[in-house]
Amino acid sequence: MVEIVDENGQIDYKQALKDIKIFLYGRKGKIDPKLHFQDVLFYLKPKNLLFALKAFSLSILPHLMHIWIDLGFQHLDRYFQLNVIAVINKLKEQAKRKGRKYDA
Amino acid sequence: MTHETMTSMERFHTAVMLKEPDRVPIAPLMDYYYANCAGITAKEYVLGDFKNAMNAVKKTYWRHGGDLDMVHIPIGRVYAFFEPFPAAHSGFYSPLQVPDTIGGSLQFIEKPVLDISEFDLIYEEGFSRLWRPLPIEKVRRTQIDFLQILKFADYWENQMEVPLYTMTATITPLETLSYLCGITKWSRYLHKSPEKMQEMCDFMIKGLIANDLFLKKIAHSRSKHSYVCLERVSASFISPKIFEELVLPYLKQIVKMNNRMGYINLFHMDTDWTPFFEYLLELPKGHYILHLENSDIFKAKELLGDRFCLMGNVNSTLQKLGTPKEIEKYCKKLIEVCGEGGGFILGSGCEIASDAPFENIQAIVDAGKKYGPYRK
Repeated sequence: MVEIVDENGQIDYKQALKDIKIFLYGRKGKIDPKLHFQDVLFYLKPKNLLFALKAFSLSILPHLMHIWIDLGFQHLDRYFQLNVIAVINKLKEQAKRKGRKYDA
Repeated sequence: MTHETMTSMERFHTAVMLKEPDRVPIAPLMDYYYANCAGITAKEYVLGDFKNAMNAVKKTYWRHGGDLDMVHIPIGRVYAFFEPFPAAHSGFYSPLQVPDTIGGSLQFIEKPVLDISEFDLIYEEGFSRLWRPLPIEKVRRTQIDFLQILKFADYWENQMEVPLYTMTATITPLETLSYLCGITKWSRYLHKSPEKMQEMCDFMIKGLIANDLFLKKIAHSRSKHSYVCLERVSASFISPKIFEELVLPYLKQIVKMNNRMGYINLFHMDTDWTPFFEYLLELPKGHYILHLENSDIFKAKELLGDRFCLMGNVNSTLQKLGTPKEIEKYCKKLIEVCGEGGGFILGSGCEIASDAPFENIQAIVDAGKKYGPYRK
């Protein structure tokens, strides 16, 4: 078995991202990792933009910088593709395909 | 009057290192109790502005005199709309019920969503196949809320020097399957098709570990507690043989990653683990907190106390129905026996009951202050 953290604490991010993809979307599963225009519009709505700005604070800026440096843009971008964007796209696709509505 | 010389962060982690801090840390695990204590409904706490939930934590902390040595993130919203992984409860897999009353708590309505006949489909299409329809706007909003969680963590860990219970979550694959298959089917599968269950556990463990790794990296918590949910794989649910084959090997993999990343293994051990205590000695050396609920914590001290920090275990019955005097008496015994030589954190068994009376929880705090100081 491939270990994602070796004895020296070195992390195999590529393998970890692959493991996340297989877990959520399967060995044959396809994902849509693109941020669509309508999603960008959602975040740009004044109400949501304000919400995001209120959630943000200067005190967490060093934290966000640390994440960026630690993970690197490529890994961080792929993680968000899998765990944020593809999640939204999959939920939308499922709702369209099955015509189901939120029930709780 | 006792003289306290440590911050909560120092006190808590000195106990984790199995040493004596200035006094026993007082760390009852709270979540929905915060809402009760702050006088807001569970619905507002989970679904309202995250700021209200954050303020409820602050209010509770100060109502208890600023003597709590640990706080917890209001986690309901994250479970409900943020967690696409079935790490314990997730709104992606189970419907929610959030009472609009003070003293209530979020409930996940457990409905079986996975059958053993669908395992091959999961291998091909993944667990997203099982997601329920969720309101997209709520999911997106909760994703933005993650920024507020980082702010919350920064406030408590860096400004207040109070550790967080956890900012990560993982679970052994077998336990996840109990939530997804439902306890009745799960028990049947364990006895009739253990090899198929093992195959699924092998499939799941990599994804669960990888998800936890990224959570650790993104949370970048100063407390470095790695929460491992151990609720349904105890001696109350499964046999030693099943534990040996379908839980222990995966738990060892989780621990190995935590150790390599310099994290403290925080085992959230609900129900009764006493008959399985000796298995814990097989785990690799590292730092551990065994957060016990209905296990025999005094026996744990005897058997495991030189390797594992113990946390607990004023259980919910005592919190809710006991008197402050009874609670004080039990806490005194916990401190005297389990606190001997360090390596003990005074806390609740599982979490504080959402509707526990304030004076009962204050009795835990008072007992910690009264009997907890170590003589130096």
